Amino acid sequence: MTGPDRRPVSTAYHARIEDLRGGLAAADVDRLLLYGNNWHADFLRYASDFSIVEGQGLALFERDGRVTLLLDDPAEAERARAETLHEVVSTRDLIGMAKGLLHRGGHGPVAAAPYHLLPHGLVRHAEQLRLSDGGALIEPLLMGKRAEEHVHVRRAAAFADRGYELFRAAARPGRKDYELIAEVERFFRSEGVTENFMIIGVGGREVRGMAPPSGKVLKKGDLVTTELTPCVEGYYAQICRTLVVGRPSDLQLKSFGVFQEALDAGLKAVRADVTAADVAKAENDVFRRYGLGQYVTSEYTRVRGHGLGLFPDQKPQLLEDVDVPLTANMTIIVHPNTYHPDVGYLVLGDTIIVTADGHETLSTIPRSLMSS
Amino acid sequence: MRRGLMGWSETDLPAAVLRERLSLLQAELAKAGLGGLVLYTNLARPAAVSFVTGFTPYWSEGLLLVPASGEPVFATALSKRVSAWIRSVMPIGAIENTPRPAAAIARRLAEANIRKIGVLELDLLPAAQAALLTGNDGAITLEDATALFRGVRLRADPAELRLVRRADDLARDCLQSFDRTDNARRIVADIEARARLAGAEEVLVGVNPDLARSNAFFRCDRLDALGATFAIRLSLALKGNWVRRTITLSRDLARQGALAAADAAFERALASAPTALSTLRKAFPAKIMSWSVEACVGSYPLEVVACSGGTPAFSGTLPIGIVWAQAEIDETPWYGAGPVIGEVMEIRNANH
Repeated sequence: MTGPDRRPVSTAYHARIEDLRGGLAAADVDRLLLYGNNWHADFLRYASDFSIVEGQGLALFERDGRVTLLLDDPAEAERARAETLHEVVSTRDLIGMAKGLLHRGGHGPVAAAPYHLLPHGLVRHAEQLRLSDGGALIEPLLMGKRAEEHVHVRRAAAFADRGYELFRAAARPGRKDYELIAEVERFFRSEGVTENFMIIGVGGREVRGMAPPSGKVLKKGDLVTTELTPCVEGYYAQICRTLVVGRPSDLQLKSFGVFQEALDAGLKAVRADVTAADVAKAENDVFRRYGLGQYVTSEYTRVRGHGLGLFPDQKPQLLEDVDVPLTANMTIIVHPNTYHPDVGYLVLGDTIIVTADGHETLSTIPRSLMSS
Repeated sequence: MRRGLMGWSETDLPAAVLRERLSLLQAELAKAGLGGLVLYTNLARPAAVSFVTGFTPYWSEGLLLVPASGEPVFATALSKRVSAWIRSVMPIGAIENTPRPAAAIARRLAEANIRKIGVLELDLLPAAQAALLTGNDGAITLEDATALFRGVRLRADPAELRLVRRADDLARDCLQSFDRTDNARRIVADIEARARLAGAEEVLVGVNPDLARSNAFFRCDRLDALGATFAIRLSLALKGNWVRRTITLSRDLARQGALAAADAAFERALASAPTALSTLRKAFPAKIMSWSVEACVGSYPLEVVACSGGTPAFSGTLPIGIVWAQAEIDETPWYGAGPVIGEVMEIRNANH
């Protein structure tokens, strides 16, 4: 076989590698070991530009920019050989192969991340392998974004908008929840969008959150919530919207007004140097003003937004106890999603880029309670 | 990220079947003198927990404790507000939503005075979970129980066979129903949508767009035009049960007869289980260049358990296996993959 389908290395990957090499030099570490699977593909993708679909993998990134990829699924290894210039090893014995690779590479310290997900079979030999937690080295790079990375987040946000329009058009009485998602996925694959994180809620006051589709049939008056998160070149952008099958009731419109106000408040609070907690508090204060304070606790909601990038649920999580400062160029979503006791679970959220004095919104879909 | 239809039904997967799987595991635990078995689950490795409980996570991770006696406990980092959803798709076992699932399991083990447990694929357990699982003072001993689990897992019951057959019927339908004149992305999109509209839980479509250029199967972002001869690899899950099929197609009319003959010979070999592999080697109309068998024997939905020229990972009989083969027909590669379901395929002398 000749001529594998390798594309030119993306400018975003070039930028990441430059930053990673700088990070390793600053930390005086020669090698970085990164773990990945289809759930947490971000660390491995950052250093290798390869997105893992099946099985598990490790990438050894060296300060000179060389990457060795160890993959335990042979078809994934074949794809990695065709898509990247890295040395790729297909192995059923991921741990044994990684140990051999680390031993051969010298006796210097090896930073590893995400350390909590690294296989036990490696970490229990951490001392011998000179492994230590490299999270502090790479996590700030994952959270912050270069302009080269924004290009892909912007494209993902545009796909999120187009995907939502399709979703809305498909949401008709009599259709099943998973059929709506199938239509969106058809569009994404035809446009070259490989991944999408998406959950859905259908119904009324009995609905307490979103989950994968369960076969619910849409009927007039149902609230249909979704969080739609397409991925372009590994980068995710998200949109959260709520629609009503048919015309919204006055109560639904009034309840949704609280979420519009909360999103506005959250977005107004965003700028470089405020903390994640400041944004969450601005959102939650709106609910508290309306006597809905209990619905912004962990009993009813998870986070009030989060980072976006190579992972669809990246740090920082927007919560009142997270004091991570926002920095210019971070990409995040602000979403005051939670349960409203009068009508059920409601969602509303936009992907933004944090700027020195505010933010740039990437989503273009109106922030209203829509009709299907 | 799972976003297809996820739901449990008594018709598809009776609770009694799950109870039977549980009691088989518990009998093995008692024989081995283990107080319990811990199974890890996430998107990439959901199969073991799915086998025992019917549950597959759409996101995040969790641990299932199967005690030597009594009800299993599923501890998961999925937040409390999705607990009702978990209950709706997991008919057996208690649920504990916690940011530290292994700590919750360790607490329960300590309360039950259990000091030694088995862990499926212990070395692959995420480090943070392993550290917490041993308890505060390291009082709980972890032992690899991969062989123990595999002994139970390799007995397919009628419910599993029915679901895998349904998944395979759907996969075959999806691979017969697209427009072969379309571009590669449209083909991927149509196959995936058809599977999802029919209720597939997960769908992965890879295309090798030109067999004269590469061995790799790409995702839609790397696809555009198709070459004269191309191949499609469809992996599909229905309620936690996975199948894979690969087909080779040509737009060159002169090649289509040879490909059809190869496909027919491949299907005959699959149907000849338990001797599918030897039939394939003996009766295929071209030289088989390489082959592999994938099966679900642990936490991976499918993993290679035997392959040509590889290290034999498995020897014995498989109730369900996916046979993959690569041949060369008229100097162009041919790929085929499909399942052997319920015929007890023999895997011997894997190092061919």
